[in-house]
Amino acid sequence: MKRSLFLLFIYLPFGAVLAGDDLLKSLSRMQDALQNLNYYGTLVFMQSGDVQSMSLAHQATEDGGIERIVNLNGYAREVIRKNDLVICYLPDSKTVTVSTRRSGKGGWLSKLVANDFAAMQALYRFQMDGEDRVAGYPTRRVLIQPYDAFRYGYRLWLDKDSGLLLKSDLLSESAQILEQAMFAEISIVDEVPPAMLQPSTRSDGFVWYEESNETEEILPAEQTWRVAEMPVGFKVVSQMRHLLPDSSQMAEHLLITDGLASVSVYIEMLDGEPAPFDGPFKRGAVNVYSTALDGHQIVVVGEVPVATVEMMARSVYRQTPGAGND
Amino acid sequence: MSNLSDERLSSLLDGELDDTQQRDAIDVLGGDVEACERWERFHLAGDALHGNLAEAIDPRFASRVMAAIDDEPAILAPSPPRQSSTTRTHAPSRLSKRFAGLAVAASVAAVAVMGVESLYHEDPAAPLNQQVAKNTSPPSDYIRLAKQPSLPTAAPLASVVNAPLTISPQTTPSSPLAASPLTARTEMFRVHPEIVRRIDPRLYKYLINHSQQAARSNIQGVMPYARIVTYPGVQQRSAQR
Repeated sequence: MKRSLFLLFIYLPFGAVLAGDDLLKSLSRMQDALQNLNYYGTLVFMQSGDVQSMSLAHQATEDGGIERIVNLNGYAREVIRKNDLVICYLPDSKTVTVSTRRSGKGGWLSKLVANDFAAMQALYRFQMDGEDRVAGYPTRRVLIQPYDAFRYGYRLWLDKDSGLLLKSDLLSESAQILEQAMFAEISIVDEVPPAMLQPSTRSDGFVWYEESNETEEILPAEQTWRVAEMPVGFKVVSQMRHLLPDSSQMAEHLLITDGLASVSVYIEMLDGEPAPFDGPFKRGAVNVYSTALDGHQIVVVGEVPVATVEMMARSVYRQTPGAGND
Repeated sequence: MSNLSDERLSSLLDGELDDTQQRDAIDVLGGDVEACERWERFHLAGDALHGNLAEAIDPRFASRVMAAIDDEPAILAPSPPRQSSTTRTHAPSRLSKRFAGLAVAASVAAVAVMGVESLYHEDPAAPLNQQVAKNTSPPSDYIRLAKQPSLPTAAPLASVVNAPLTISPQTTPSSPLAASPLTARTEMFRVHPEIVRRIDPRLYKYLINHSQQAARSNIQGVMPYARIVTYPGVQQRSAQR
């Protein structure tokens, strides 16, 4: 005890570095656990004063894992992810949408490994935030607070033993809770019963939208749509073209992230039709800002404050072909 | 802090409160500037959705509004004096009059915002994208909310636009051009649940696609999927069918 106190004194100037290491380790373990553990349970989700519960199961596989989440309230919407394929069954609109994730292999963890953690520390303050008990498990809390008002903060509860994320809060720019998700109960198992990973939706007569066939990455030389202004730290990580449900035209899609928060910019040709909507819109933690430009509808969507989506939406411009890449 | 929640206001608007609740709510509303402003926005949004705004631009409307306002100074003043116990137990006719006063004020505010919008769109200094938005003929409710095709030119509207300035200075800026119409519009799109129901289906595909795409890099693991399965808009829309 004395010895550790002594060491603490010696290392005090490096305390921040040590805390960062500890944190990085905790977050890496969390990411590992999310990908490599097999578990199922009931997740409670709170948003805008509304509480819903969903059943969730995750089975690790060699090529990326299978995950299923189904709402236990209202319509039984469900999402099944098999590796990079995300299938959403939406019984209320009688549609199924199939999408391929393109956010990069390894996800969040790869950013940590790629030493982007330092870059993220310029945008967010990471700190350990005490201990708590969730779903019967002792947990360690991690608090991630943004330094500016262009992104949200997070509070994460990580199982001490496995590192699994058991509860998470999304915090507004004024540190109010925007969304909470928490396991009410969870079982970490050797193998999830296969039935728990099967879709329960009877999708006969549903309209399927398979976006994967229609998606193409846009080469840098062919990129004409750009976002001129983004809050510090945000970068375009992917620019593609794909067909969205109910659209007749391919939409251009820019995926933008600061490492934690992601924002999508969709650009769709209006084809002489009027713009269906204009201005800001909020759905829980998700802010949307849409506008029209040059015969196109611009829709910016993200789990970021309205100032961020507005800044991006209003600064979208079309570069005339052949003008070079600024 | 306001004593009237959005839900309470919404219920009041929809006539879902019983007599006592209604009276209480209106009492609170009379003494709560912030709630009054929200009430106005609710009305504005509701009127816009139900296509009532064109009527509100009737040129004679302004004088009728002003007459109504003259009758009801206590209600429409930003900080009316506390009601005595005798006025608390007012008669129904008094009550409906108060209601009318508030509704009228709300409609005036609606016209004001419409006017501001109109001026804004005709402002040559407006950003390019706004200019483009103006040039498209909008059949959808959403755009109509922002710019009514049948809207008279800005000049005749001036008197109406100026009307609410004397009523609720907190809500309406002193000059339409100095205003931030975008903010006014933001507020009104945010508050009204009816608008949420209308707009959700159209935005839904973007919300879903974004969540599908963003999940991998999300530190919160399955949170984006949780959002997909819990977006309430489409459920509400279907329930209405």
